[in-house]
Parts: sequence; structure tokens; C-alpha cells
Amino acid sequence: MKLSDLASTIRSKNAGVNQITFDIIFPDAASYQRVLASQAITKDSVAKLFRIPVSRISDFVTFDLANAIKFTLYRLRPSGSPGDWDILGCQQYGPLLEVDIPD
Amino acid sequence: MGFVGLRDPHVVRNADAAIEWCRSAVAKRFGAEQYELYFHVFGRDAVLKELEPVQETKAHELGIVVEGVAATDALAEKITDFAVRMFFLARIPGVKGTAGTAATTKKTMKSSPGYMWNVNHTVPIDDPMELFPVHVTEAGV
Repeated sequence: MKLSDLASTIRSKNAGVNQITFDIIFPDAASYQRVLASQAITKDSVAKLFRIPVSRISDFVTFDLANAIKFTLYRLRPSGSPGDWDILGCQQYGPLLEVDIPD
Repeated sequence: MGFVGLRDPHVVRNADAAIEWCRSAVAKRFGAEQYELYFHVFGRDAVLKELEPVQETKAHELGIVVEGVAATDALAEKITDFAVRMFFLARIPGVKGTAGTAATTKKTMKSSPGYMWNVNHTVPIDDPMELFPVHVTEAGV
């Protein structure tokens, strides 16, 4: 099963000018816990997915109360700099949809 | 900004070689000038850039936005125009077509002025209310 089959919201957005934050929100505790238990979404796995060193991930947190996972990356250059094509960071979540969640 | 399109499968596979050809042609012509040149390869990794996990595109055509930045509008336009033209003229080993390596539009488009955020917008303060002064005025009494 893919992450997009289990989560109700998967998004990315600017967190200030130097970071992009990602939210993965699940409709219930069961699907949230299933993804946590699978270890498919961890600090290391998202670093690997986005092909960046773990040091570029400033935060990685899980919120049991909200059935949500949140992590934040440092941009290489501030939002809106010449060469930046996603100045709001709103399309960076794409690769997360395809992450395989083993049974 | 200029826009070019690639359709020859050999050029699509070797888009980076075409970009390098173009970059070095611009460097030869505008070597002494201060400029920045970016190539956004739509159909491959324009949106995610270095974060893109998909390393091999399945697209049969690519759209490349050429973004040039320089000290003045006029110079940026000149460099971007030249870069687009060089894309058209790029020579890549093995290309069968000889009349142009990239489909292009007629003219580059002007974008907004380029900038880079360089001010620390976090201000160290002693009193949390320091930046939110409250003024009380009696009116209509």
C-alpha cells in the first residue's frame, strides 16, 4: 500500500524563507500507527527519499494526538532567490505519495 | 526568461550536455559580465531540483525555462536571449537533426527583479512587548 492510500493530507509549504515543512496527516490512529510501525517514514528514510544528508532535516516530529507526522527541511537558498522554481514550497511533497508502506 | 522545447529523443536523453554546451557558449561571449543563468528542466526535475528522487524521465519531450539574472534588465535580456539562441545551435554528438537542437519561442519574457532574502528577520529583544507599543487615547469624552 502507498502512503497516499493511508494519509488524508500530505502537503509541503514554506516555513519562513529558509525552510520547507511537510505534514502527513492520517484520518485515524490505526493508519497513523501502522505507518509509524512500518518505519517507512523516518528522519533517515525521508532524507534518503529526497536524496539529501540528514543534516538538512531540521525537525522530524510525530504527533499522536493529531495522528500526524511533520518534518522540515532547510532550503539550499532562500525562497524567491533567482533559480527557485517553487517559491512557496507547495509541490515538494510529490515523492511522499508514492512511498510504499509494507503490510 | 526564455523557453525552449526538446523533442529529439537523443537530445532529451542528453539534455544536460545541451545545457552545458549552452552555458559554455554564454561564458565565452559574456565571460567578464556578472550574471547568473538557470535552466529549469520541466518534465524532469524543474520543480524539485536536487530533491527529485525520479532520476530518469519517461517524458518524450522536455520544456526548459532559461532564467538569466544580471545587473540590468537590458543585460539580463541580452544574456537570456543569447542563451536561448545557443540552445537552438547546441551541438551534441550523435544528433541527426542539423537545423536546430531546440524549438524556441520568438522572444524572452521579462520577469520581476531578482532578489535574495538576506536580512535576519528574527529580532533579538529584551521585552516581549517592545515591538508592540500600546497607545491609549481618550476620545469623545
